[in-house]
Amino acid sequence: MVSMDELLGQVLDREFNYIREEMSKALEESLRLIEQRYDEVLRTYSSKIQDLVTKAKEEVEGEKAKLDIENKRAVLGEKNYWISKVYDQVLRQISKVKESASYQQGIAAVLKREVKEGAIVYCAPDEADKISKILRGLKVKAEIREDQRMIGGVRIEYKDVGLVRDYSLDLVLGQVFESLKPKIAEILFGEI
Amino acid sequence: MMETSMNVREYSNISMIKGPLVVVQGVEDSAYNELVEVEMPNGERRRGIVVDTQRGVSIVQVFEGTRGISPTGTRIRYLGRGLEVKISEEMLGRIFNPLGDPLDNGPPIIKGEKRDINGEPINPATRDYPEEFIQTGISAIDGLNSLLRGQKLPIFSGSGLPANVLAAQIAKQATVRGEESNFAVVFGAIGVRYDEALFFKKFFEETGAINRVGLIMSLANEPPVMKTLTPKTALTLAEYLAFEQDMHVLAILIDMTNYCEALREISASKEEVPGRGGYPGYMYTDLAQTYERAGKVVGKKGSITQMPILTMPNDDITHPIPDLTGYITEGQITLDRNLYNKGIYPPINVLMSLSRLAKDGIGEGKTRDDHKEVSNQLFAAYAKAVDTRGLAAIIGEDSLSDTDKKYLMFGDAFERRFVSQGVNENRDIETTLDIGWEVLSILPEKELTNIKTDFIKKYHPAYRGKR
Repeated sequence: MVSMDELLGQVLDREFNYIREEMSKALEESLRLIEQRYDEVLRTYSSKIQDLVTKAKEEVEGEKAKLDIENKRAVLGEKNYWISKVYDQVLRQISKVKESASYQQGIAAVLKREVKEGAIVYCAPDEADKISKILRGLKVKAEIREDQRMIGGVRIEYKDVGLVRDYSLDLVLGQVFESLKPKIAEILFGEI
Repeated sequence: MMETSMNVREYSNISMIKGPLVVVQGVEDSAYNELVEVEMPNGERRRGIVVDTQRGVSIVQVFEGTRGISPTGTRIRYLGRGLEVKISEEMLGRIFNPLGDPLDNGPPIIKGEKRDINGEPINPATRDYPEEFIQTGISAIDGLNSLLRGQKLPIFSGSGLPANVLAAQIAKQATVRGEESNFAVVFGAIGVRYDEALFFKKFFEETGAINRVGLIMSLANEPPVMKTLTPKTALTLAEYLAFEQDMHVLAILIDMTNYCEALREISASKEEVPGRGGYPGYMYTDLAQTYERAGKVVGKKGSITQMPILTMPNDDITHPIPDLTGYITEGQITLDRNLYNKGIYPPINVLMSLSRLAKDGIGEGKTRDDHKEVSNQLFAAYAKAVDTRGLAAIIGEDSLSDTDKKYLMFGDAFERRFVSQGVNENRDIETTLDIGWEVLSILPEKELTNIKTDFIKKYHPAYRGKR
């Protein structure tokens, strides 16, 4: 027969085990909830940190790219400045071109081909005499007008048809210089 | 030197000025598309092009418009050559107008040579078939409507939809995997508003993409001729970078609707007989001449991929512009207003979108071995989800089967998790496919009938942890 003490002991043990089991489950559940919450917070804040890092990285890349472009523009601007200096120097030396035989022949050939009776020939002030001489040689009656803006060559106006043909040195020089710009840049600044 | 004449002729007999057109009398020798300079009495110079030439009459279209031009005192100078723009790699990182003038307060470019902006068509015998994948970083494009190098894939947008933001994001993120350093973007902004122009400039600068983007721009308030020249100049730059500098170029043209409207305006001013919708009858050929300037060429390392963006007037896909574009291009990406109203960005309707060449550029060795099947499964499942939504609207959601309810959940998850992404979120193809698997895992495995069991065991989230 079981004594009262033993019975009490058994009941207490049973209750104790039950409480221990429940406590253990509660602890497990709490730990699970804590871990879940921890993972959630970790995920959220990792993502936020990642976003911040990405944003910061992008901002740095953006600033870097902007500075890079600014730098390129500044360098290009500087190069354009020195190339325009070369052009100015060419203009100053243009008299040597105008004295050359090929230039004289070119002007004469253009006038021979294009000038007609009654035409108006525009030229630079320092070339008026030369042009007049050529026209006399061609025996063509054409009016000569000096244009201060011209540096050389001729422009021929046919008043009857409202047409002007442009053989000015300004035009040729401008177009040729534009196409030679990369080569000039290579000579001045090395490989670009 | 004087003998090599530039054939520059100047006339002053202007008989009529009508809209952007100037009629010059007494011109016997002007060539069609010859470049022209208009000098006004005050010394101001504008440029133009010959658009009609007859014996004794030449009609010039002035790029900068004819405001202030008078028939007396104005001189028209025919330059003896076509419209050529100086093109070089110095244009990357810069902003230019279609005539090659800088718009970013910077100096003109030095290196480069002048090229005819009308370009030359690619010899069909030398065209190479597009097979390499371009990663745009946008899941709805990379996953289901993949863009390949050399393809033409337009984006069909609607008024008010975020096509600009999407275009800018693609320009920033697009890359050919493994060849990131050789990738460039040519952005043709046609007739954009000033605030849009500012947005593009700021976006590229702030995100660091400016270095690899060449921007050719015309504003909304500029004459229509400038708008029609914009894609030509942009594609001339793209052709130079691709076929002479061996770069992979993505040419984004936005907005082709503005281009077509400008074409219509010019056609009306020339009193041409209008075609469908008042657009010129030759609009199809004109669009084809633009869109066909894309592709890969045998023997050349570079390529041009085109993404023209157009706004469908009234969201009407049967409108002449998207209709004709669809005939020429290799698919389309369609933006959807309903998705946009739900707050989804980018609002790409994958069911209305298609990339005809996608199947040739995805899969093992190109993207990932499961790409094709996941793509097919996502499409099929989403199509069923949309059908189920219709059913639910009629019989009520409670009357649906469990599987149908799963499809509804899938539909929402697909839109909010797969299609929707941030403006600055750049997803690689692996992330895109993993997200695809994530949303597919909502469905019962038996519904994944388009995917091989091997791939399910390899990539399905339920099995991934067990590997």
